[in-house]
Amino acid sequence: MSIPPILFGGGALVTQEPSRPTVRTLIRNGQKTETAWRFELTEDAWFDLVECLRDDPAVLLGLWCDGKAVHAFFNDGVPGGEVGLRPLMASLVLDGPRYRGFSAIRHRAAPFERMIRDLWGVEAMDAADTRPLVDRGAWTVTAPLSERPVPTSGMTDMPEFAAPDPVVAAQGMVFSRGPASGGSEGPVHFRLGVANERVRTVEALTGFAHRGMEARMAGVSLTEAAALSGRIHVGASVAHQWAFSAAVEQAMGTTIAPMIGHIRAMLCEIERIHTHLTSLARTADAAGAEMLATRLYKARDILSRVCQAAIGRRLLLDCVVPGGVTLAISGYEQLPEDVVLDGLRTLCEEIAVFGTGDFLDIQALWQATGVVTSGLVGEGVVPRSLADALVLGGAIGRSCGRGADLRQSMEAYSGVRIRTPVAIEGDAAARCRIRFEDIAESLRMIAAFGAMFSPDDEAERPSFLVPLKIPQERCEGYAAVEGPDGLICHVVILQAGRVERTFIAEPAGVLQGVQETALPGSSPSKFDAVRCSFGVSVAAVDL
Amino acid sequence: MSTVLIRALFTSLLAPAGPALPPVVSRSPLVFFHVDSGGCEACSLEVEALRKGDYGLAEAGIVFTDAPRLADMLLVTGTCTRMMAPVVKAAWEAMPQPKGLLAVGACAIDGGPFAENYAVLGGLEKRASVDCAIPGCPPTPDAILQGIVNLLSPTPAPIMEA
Ligand code: SF4
Repeated sequence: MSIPPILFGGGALVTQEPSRPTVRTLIRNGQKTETAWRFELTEDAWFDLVECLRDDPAVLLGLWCDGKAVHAFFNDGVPGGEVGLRPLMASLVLDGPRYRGFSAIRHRAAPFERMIRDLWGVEAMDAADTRPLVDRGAWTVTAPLSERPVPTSGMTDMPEFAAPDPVVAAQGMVFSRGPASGGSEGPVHFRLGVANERVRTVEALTGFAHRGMEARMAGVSLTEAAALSGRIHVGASVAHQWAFSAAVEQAMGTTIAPMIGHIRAMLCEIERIHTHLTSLARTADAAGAEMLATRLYKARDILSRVCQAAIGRRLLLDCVVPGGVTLAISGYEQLPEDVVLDGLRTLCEEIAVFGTGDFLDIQALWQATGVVTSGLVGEGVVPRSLADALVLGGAIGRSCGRGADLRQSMEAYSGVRIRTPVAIEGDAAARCRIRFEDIAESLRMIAAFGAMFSPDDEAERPSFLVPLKIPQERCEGYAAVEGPDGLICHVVILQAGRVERTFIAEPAGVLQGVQETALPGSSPSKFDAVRCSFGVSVAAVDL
Repeated sequence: MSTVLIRALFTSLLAPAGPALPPVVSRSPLVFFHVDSGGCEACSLEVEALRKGDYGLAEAGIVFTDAPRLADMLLVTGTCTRMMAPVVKAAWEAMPQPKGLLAVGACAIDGGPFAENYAVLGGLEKRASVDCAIPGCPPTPDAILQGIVNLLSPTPAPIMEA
């Protein structure tokens, strides 16, 4: 085992074996670019980088392509804790439609590599997962974002599924569900091999919800890109709009008033509660705990109604924009800051009422409902080793004993105590329990933010929205936010007054794979409940 | 989801829209089948809120099913992706006559933020005769309910904006 690098003050890095390169030194040895944190690597250096990852704690946050190069976005260690984000980007100019992939060493890279292959026709060598992710042959072209997309007939054969498991083939059955199940989840198709009362194989066919986010967020105005970033998926629209906005602000060197940060964080916590309630309600519903599900759905609806009454929106889409926040307390025009703060404080207070009343009742009811507590124990277990290998965060990572939380180091959360709940079982029951505890923590934070939104503080109050104008010269920025399901990261490239490109890292892609690994072994009657406990949104997987 | 739908998905891609729809007669209860054909899931979430919350849906004579062959109305949210188009079509064809089509949200109507591209066909407006279109990105559950009620009442009142 290697000894983790020791960090000193300003970021100088000293390892136990100075002769061995680290990911950081390898990337920094590359050719400098106009962006301080991005370096261009030669093919050899890229190979060394991949090899170096075998025993380096660096985390791959994202991997993207722009047709000319592939870009790998790394962080020194797991983001979270005191240090926060210390990212570096390595770019490899492509010489042909191939590059050395990361997924054999960092399985986290798999959904990114699959997406790059489907969108750009650029293949990762040594890839751990070569299945398509979103291109199932139904598009008008293959490799739609490449320079020369190849037209297709728009017709395909049946999708390719792996050969059935021998036990399933001999004495079991294959079940299909989706993409139109009549429920409210996004479109995805599952194929389950069931034998001896157990689900033995699970294959997910994704791509039904692919809308081409990457293509749509290229070459557009700031307003268009910001609106689109909120529509990646509803479960994390504040988180995405925040990450996008913060990335734009970072690229342009704009600093945002601390109060705006707090407002964004507060909205993000409301969204976290909403998203957790959705997945808890769906889990309860699928498990057959009808009364519990009804209570959870109603609680979610009340939360939405409170938001509508206070800020004019049930769901918090388009509240966070580059340059600040757009909040229209009961209406659609920007109001004076004091009125907004007043409204936000009332909102926080009303949510706190939910936390001290209804929420506790629902939590007690959940604990007393066998089908969702003991019934989900030992189901859909995510092993700690897998969680560590994939650097899982969010409720799923936390239920496997991983407590990394980016909020600890985020400026916007300064002044609020953060306690990240952690469990070790890694099963569906633990995931649900963590969601409840996460909600309790968010409720506490919202109350703390409410106390900060005090209008009698007469200090200079900066405007909540400073309109930004993209400069002509090229600039790049990044930002990451702790979303409801883990780390959400955006890298933006701005040029000539437009958003040239946006790279999105969504935890859903990785979680979809985790779900496929963890679901086999569950009993068919519990399959849906266990699946809902993961809360993976296909809109976010497919992009 | 039957294998019939899946097969339809991979063989009848981009099939033309069906003929104009016969008018929906008022029956009780009115059965809906909901398909999300690919959006940000916000519209689906609001349909779910309407189904599961205190909106008096059952009193209004509206129920949801998970089998299209039992449905009177097809409720679509999200833009129609090229992969979902045959699924929507197959669901529609599985429904008995008379039947109606409901487009909920900007995506389902005209594609909204997700207009036609390599992977997306866009909204239903141009491809089928939509009996009821509820605008908004996303519309509120109240607006969706209002739209449905207007559809059922003999003299429709204007649809509330979200
Ligand atoms: S209409 Fe808007 S809110 Fe509804 S699914 Fe489409 S993008 Fe999302």
